[in-house]
Amino acid sequence: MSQTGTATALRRDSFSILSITFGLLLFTVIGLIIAELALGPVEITPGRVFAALIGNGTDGEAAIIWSIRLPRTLLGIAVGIALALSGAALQGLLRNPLAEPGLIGVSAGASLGAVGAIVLGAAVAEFLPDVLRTLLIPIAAFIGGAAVIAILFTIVHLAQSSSAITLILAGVAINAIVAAAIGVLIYVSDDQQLRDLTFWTMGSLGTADRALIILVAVLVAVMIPVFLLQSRALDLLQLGERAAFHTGLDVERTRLMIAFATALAVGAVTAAAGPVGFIGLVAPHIARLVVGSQHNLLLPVAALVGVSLVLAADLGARLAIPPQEPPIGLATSLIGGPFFLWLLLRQISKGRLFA
Amino acid sequence: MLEAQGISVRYADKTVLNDLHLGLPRGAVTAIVGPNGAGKSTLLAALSGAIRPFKGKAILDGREVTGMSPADLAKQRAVLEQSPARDVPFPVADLIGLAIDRNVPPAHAAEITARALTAFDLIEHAKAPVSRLSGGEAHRAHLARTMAQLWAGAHLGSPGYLLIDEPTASLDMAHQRAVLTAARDAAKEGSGVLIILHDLTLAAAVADRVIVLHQGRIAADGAVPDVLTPAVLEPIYGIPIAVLNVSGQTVVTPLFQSQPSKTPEETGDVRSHESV
Repeated sequence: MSQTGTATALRRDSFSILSITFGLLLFTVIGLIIAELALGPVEITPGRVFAALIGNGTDGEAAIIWSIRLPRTLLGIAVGIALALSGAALQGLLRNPLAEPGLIGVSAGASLGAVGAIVLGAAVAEFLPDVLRTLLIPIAAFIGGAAVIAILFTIVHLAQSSSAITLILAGVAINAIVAAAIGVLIYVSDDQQLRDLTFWTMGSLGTADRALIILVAVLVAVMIPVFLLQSRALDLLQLGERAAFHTGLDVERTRLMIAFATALAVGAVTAAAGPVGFIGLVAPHIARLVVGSQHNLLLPVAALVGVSLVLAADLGARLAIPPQEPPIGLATSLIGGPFFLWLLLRQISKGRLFA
Repeated sequence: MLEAQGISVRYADKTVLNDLHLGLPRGAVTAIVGPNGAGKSTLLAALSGAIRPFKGKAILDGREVTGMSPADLAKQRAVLEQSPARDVPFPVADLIGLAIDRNVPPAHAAEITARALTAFDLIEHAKAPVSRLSGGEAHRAHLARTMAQLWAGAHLGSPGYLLIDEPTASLDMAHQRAVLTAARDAAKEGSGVLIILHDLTLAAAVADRVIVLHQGRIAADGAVPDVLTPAVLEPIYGIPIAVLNVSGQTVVTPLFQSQPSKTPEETGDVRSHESV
C-alpha cells in the first residue's frame, strides 16, 4: 500500500499547484476585465468603474460602462470560453491538437450562416417578430456551424482518419467553399449590408447589439456544463474510439453531444463577434502545457486562458491606435497564425502529420 | 455464459466468419489460435459487442451484446484488442484508473490500480505518461487497464469475461508469463477468459481449451492434447510442426528441416465444433 500513500502525497502536492494555477488565472481574468472596463479613449479609474456599476457614477461614465464597455467585455468572455472549450473538445474527440473551430471550417460555416442571415434575412426579417429577428443570425450561424461539423465527421469517417493532413485539407476545402459562398452573398448585398459585413467578417467585440450579446452570453453559459460533463468521455476517447467503447463509453452519443455543443457555442459567438481565429487552438494548447491532458482540468483552464487571450487581444487592438478600434480577429490571427505554423512544424518533425 | 450463435461476419464481399457456434463458460481459459486472416480478431470483436454480425448473435448471460449499453457491457466484460493506442497522454496509473467503474469506492479503486501495476510490473512507470513508454511497456499498461476493468466489474457484480487479442505479441518472455498468469488467475477467480494467441506453446501452457479457427470456421476445438497435434495443425498452417513434451509441458514449434510428418501417431480424438 506504500504506493497508495505516495499517490496521496502526490495528489496533495499537485492539488496546491493546481490551486495556484487557478488562482493566477482567475486573477489575470479579473485584472483584464477591470482593464477592459477602465481603459479606452475615456479612462475611468477602477474605483469609479465600480461606482458606475452599482449606480453611483456620473451619467457619462455610467453610459460608457453600461452601454459600451460592459457588453463588449461580456461578449469577450463568451467568445473566449466558447472557442476554447470547443477547441479543446474537438481536439479531444478527434485526438488531434490541430483541430480548431476556425481551421477546420466550423467558424467559416457559422460565418456563412450569419452572412446569409445579414444579406438575405432583411427580406424575411420584416415579417418576423422582434425576438426572432434577434435570433435569426445566431440560428443561421448555428446551422452553418453544425452543417460543417456534420460534413467534417463524414469526411473523417470516410477517410478512416482524423490525422492532421485529413483535418487540414478538409478545412482548406470547406473554408474555400465557404469563402466563395460568402463572396456570392457579398456580391448581391447592398451598400449598408456590405459595410456591416466587412467589419463583421474581421471579427469584432464592439459591433453586436446588446440584446444579441445577452443572448449569446446565456447560450455560452448553458453550454459550459455540457462541455465539462464530457471530461471523462474525452479522457476515454484518448484510448481510441474502439477502446473507449470497450471501457463503457457511448461513443456515438459523445460525438453528437460535442458536435451539438460546439456548433451552438461557436455559432453563437460567431453570430455576435464574427470569426475570431486561433483562440480554440492556442488556449487549449497553453492549458495542456500547464495542467496536462486530463479534461476535467484541461477544459476549465482552457476556458480561463481563452478569456484572457480574447480580452488581452481586444485591449491590445483598442489601445494600439486610439481612438481607432481595429477588429480583434486581426489581432488573434496575427498571433495565432504563426503559432499554428509552429505547431504544424512540430507535428511534421515528429512524423505525426499522417498518423 | 458467453455464446456465439451462428455468427457470420462479412467485410465487403469477403466472409470473415461463417456460421460460428461457440459457448464460453466462466472459470476457464479458452485460447483461440489459427493462421492470419482466420477471423480470430473478428470473432473477439463480435463477442465484445464492438461489431454487429451480418448473421447470428453474440449472447452474454442470455442477453444479446449489441442490445446492451456500452456502460453495462463494460461492467461484465473487459476487452483488449490488438495494437492499443501508444500516444495516450496520461500517466499509467491514471490510464488504469480510467477503466475502473465510477461506482467502485475510491479506496477500492486505488487497491485495484495498485494490484494492476504490480501484476504487470509497472510500479516504476506508474507516473510516466503512456506516450513515453516503449511498445511493450505501453502494451502492459493497457493490459493492466483491462485487468483493472475486469476486477472492478467483479467487485460491483459477479466475475465477467476477459477477451484479449495477442496479449503476448510485443512482450519479452518474463512478461508473457506474467500476462498469462494473470489470465489464469482471472479464470481461477471465476471469470471466463478468451485469449487469441499465435504462440501455440503459450496457448498450451495457459488454456483449458483450444479452438483452432481456419477460414472463418472452427477447424478444431478441445483440450490441449487433442487439438495441438501435428495431424491437426499441419494441414491448417501448411508447414511441418513438432509437438514435444518438455518436463510435462507441451511445446509446439515449426520445423525448418523436415517434411510434414506422415504418421500422425499423436492424433487424439479431435472433436469438431458440432459437439460443443
